[in-house]
Amino acid sequence: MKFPNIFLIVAVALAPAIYSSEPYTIETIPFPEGVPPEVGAIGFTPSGDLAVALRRSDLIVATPTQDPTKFEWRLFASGLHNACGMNIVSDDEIIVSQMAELTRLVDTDKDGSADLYESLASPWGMSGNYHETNHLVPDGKGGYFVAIGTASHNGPVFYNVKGDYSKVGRRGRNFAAATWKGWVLHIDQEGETTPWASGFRMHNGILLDSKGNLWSGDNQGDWKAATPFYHVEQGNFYGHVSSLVWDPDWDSAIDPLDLPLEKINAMKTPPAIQLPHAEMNRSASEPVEIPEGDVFGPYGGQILLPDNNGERLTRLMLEEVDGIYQGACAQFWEGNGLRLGNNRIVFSPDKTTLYVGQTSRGWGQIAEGLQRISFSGNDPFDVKTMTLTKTGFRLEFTDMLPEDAASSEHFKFTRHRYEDTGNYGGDKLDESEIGTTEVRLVDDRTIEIDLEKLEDSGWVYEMKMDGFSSAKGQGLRTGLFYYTVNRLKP
Amino acid sequence: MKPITASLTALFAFAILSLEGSDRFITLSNLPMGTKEEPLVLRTYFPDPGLGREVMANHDLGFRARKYSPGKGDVDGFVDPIRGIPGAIGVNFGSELSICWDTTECRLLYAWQGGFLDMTQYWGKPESGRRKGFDYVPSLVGELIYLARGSHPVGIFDHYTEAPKPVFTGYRIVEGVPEFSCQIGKATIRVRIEPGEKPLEIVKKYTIEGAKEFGYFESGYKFKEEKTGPDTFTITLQGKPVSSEGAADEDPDYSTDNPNAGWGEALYTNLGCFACHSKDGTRGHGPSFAGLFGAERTITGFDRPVTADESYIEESIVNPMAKVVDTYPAGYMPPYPIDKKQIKSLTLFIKTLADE
Repeated sequence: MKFPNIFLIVAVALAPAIYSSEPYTIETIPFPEGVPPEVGAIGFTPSGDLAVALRRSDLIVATPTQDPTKFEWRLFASGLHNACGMNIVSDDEIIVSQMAELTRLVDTDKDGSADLYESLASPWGMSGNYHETNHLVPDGKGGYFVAIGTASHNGPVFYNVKGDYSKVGRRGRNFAAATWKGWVLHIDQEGETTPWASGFRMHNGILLDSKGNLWSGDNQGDWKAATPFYHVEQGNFYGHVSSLVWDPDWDSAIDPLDLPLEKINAMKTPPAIQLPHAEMNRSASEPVEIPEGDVFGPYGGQILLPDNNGERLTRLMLEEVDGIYQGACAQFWEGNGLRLGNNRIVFSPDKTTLYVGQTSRGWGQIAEGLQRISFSGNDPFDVKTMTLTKTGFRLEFTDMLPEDAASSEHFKFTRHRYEDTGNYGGDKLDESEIGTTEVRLVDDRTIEIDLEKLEDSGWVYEMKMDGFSSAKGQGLRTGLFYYTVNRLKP
Repeated sequence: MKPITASLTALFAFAILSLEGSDRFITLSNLPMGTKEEPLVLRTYFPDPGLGREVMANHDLGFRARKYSPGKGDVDGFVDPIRGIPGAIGVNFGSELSICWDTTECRLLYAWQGGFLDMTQYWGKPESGRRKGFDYVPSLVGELIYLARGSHPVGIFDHYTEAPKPVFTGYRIVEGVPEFSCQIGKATIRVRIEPGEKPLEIVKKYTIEGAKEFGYFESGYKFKEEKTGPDTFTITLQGKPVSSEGAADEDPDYSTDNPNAGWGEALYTNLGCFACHSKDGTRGHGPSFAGLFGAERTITGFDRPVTADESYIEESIVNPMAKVVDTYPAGYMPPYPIDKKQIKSLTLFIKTLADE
């Protein structure tokens, strides 16, 4: 099989009105002949080698080359059971979260491959269900946050269960039959475990950002009407009820699936951003912060959220409003040579290139491998940030606007909300058009839009924008945005 | 149940996947294998060939759950757990020896010869690369020669209270072989397991630190103990073909409401049918199940061929001598005293292989 080395992206020819990938390029990087490219985790070593953990066993490394077909892969470690989280400590030391445990891989004799596989911690159980994968992020203090995925009704459990088994936790679509499924755990430097937050379904990717905030996506499904993105804080519950059976304070006589919806809604913390499933992101995977500055385009400091079941990477614009985080999402990348199955992403050490690892892992269509997206250095014309005002939204653009951009005919708003239930996913509820009352140019790069109706408590505002270019005549890169209003501006 | 012959070695030799002159990557092949010089370590789900509760003492027990339908929620009927081992590590030394060492019990659970694992059920067919089926536990390739029985073979006699739970602390690759390490109370136990010099021998090299008094006892197997230093000793364990009587007395309850092919497939693994009857047409001690159902069989001593229908398969399970397929040895397969639902499930499973 041969892939073209470079897909050069021509915005006008390929892109739909709402989206253009210019000025980025995408390349495909092959793995050694016969090696199934099922990417569980990726990262860079301090000396600049790319490390890739594969589903079946191996952790392979290569020094990136300009020619994407010239990577010389070598084996750093093998025998790992579906490692989906990775933290590279040094050229000789990598921490992975595999199905059963957090493992420290060390090349003690410096021959290029690990000879020590130390079990750091294994506080979570294993029901035997294939779906129970884990992801990790270092806490910056020598410890880790670990996301413990739930099991799927598409697979059984074993008679022999690692950890404890809960009959109540076994009920339902995605279930938490074994210890700490559906939780984020904190494991400190000494290996001590603290349960951090619960209510997750399949939080296939967590992030500790540069400001110290912990984030995670989750997968649409039972108790997740859309694709949520959460600000994860200690003690919070995020809605998937099966995990509650592992809360030490939970009354074991209560089956969480039997709780009334109002009670569950009162207990849970809503997502900072709701990503509409069809339009934005079907299956959130590893969130990563875009490097500060302009090195990867004008979106520095924002978060990229890959879609494991879509040819896309979603851009998240978060802000703090009335003490909590909320914000907007828009597509950073869609189609244009990107595969489905986007599971893990990492920036190159020089921050100019984003590496994307893909896997299908038994769901969706086959989509696996490794690609990279590089920035040309020329900024696109785009909305840099979408933020809330007391009366509507403020859009800051990456370049100067023409006078006539501030016209209500360029901006169409609707809004909807979601209701999480035990059923899979959820429709857009109470969808309606929202008129604009004023669209004004605040300065040469900023537009403010006032809306007829602006309400909080989880309304998701859709904005469609088109019909103008930059003052220099550059076309708009992105035209579809969703802002989740949890709180209004005080 | 599964006599040892040398011919199996040749049968599985094709599965060796070492790439000349480069690193040995795991590939799309679902029959990964190592060699004696370069053993292959693989952590995955493992089949449970009949381990007793006393061996799996530190595991909790899964339980039957109400069936779930994505559309309707809870529905009538139950889903039973399946047999499997969640957190074990496998090591393959080529056709001579494979072991399954568990990180929860911190002990050797079983050993086998011939091949290693058939990963198809978990890794999927190479063309699709997907997990396949409901039961995704890999199958053993070869013949069991050791199945753990009784409590942990290493006794630490420093404490007279109940022994603390063992805690797995990892492994180190020493001359290509993993040396597993675990903590039992204050004692650290390290063990390297390798093939011995004689057929069926399993050599376990132990180092025990932090314990004043310790001993080794293996239930049901002959072994030789050799003290090699103040903290070290070597056990040479004499493996033997594992008979069905060697399997657990306390089998988990397999009863389900209705016989089904998935159950039959689990039985195919757990009863050891795979050791003689392939799923892919490969000739073994017994006829392959691939394309068996509905085919015409030439039977030793019969004038006319016989159609392999349901009654033929059921009869062959219960009374293997009744109709022996031409060119296969008579009396090789023992009768399997399993219940009607199990026989029906196995038959349904064999039926699914009709088009293979």
